[in-house]
Amino acid sequence: MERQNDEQRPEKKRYEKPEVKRFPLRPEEAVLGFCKSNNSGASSPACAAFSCKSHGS
Amino acid sequence: MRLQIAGLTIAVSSSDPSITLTVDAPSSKFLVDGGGPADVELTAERVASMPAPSDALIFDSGGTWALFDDGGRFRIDCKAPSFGDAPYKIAFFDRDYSAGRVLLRADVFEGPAEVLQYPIDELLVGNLLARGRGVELHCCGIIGEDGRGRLFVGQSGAGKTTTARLWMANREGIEIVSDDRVVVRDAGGEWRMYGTPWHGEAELASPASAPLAAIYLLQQASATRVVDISRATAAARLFGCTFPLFYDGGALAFTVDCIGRITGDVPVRVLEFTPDVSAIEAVS
Repeated sequence: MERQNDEQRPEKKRYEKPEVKRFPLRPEEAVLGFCKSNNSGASSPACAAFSCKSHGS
Repeated sequence: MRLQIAGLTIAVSSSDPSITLTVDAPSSKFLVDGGGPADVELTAERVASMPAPSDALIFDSGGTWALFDDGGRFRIDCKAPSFGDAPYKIAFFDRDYSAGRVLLRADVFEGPAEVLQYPIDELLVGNLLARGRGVELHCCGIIGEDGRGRLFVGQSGAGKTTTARLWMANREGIEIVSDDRVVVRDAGGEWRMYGTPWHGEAELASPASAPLAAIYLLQQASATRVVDISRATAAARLFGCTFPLFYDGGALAFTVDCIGRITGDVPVRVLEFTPDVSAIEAVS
């Protein structure tokens, strides 16, 4: 009976050593530290004086 | 004034008759009529001087804003070198971000007041989403002529606006919901993507939404092809294109879990692409 169970058991997945991978995270973008918009100026005096930084899209 | 962004309603009011509430052009597409309960109720005041600084810093963005613990509520100070040391705007929020009060410095905000102007609008929505509601991704969102949504994810310079422009030039009957920021939420067992006012270089923003059919991680290459990746890699790369609340463990845990669930339900692949029509055909 035990042998039969062994035969029915799916093949054991091969062990893969855990691996640490690094992926990019851009803190200055992720924390919304700077305004990217440039179209608020007409109605917002604050925008005209901001030191806006554009990081592209 | 009421805005609805990703299904979240933000109501802004002021008892000061000298304050004319307004929003920028992209946000104006998200204005809605009607009354009833909102997810957030905000009031605005114009003040001659700002309250004393708080010494209970929670998080400094390193840029315009910093978050403080203000007793039973949060306080966000917004500063710019042009306006001296004092904040030009301070927002107080309840702990669940369901109510808030925004103080505008009178010498800065003399005309119509954009109360939700950067960074308040996006910080507010980000905090609401991270409390069990969804996640904002750095991506371009496109609704195809079949009504299905596709996200093209990447950090700055990855090609989000390029992708949006390609689709606009080569496909009819599509809608770009944003070329920079899109919200994804679980809408009753179905992942749905929502446009936001926060756009990229092409200034594309729409309040439209659609069922999310596929996610592509943008990667510029010499030839176009779609590459399968593991779910773990997909989750890690997607997380790198969120706007995590690093200072809030519960919010961070929810965002990680949300990304994990999305990668289990929605196909996530890498789109290696050259900026031509092949980048559309590969995912159509």
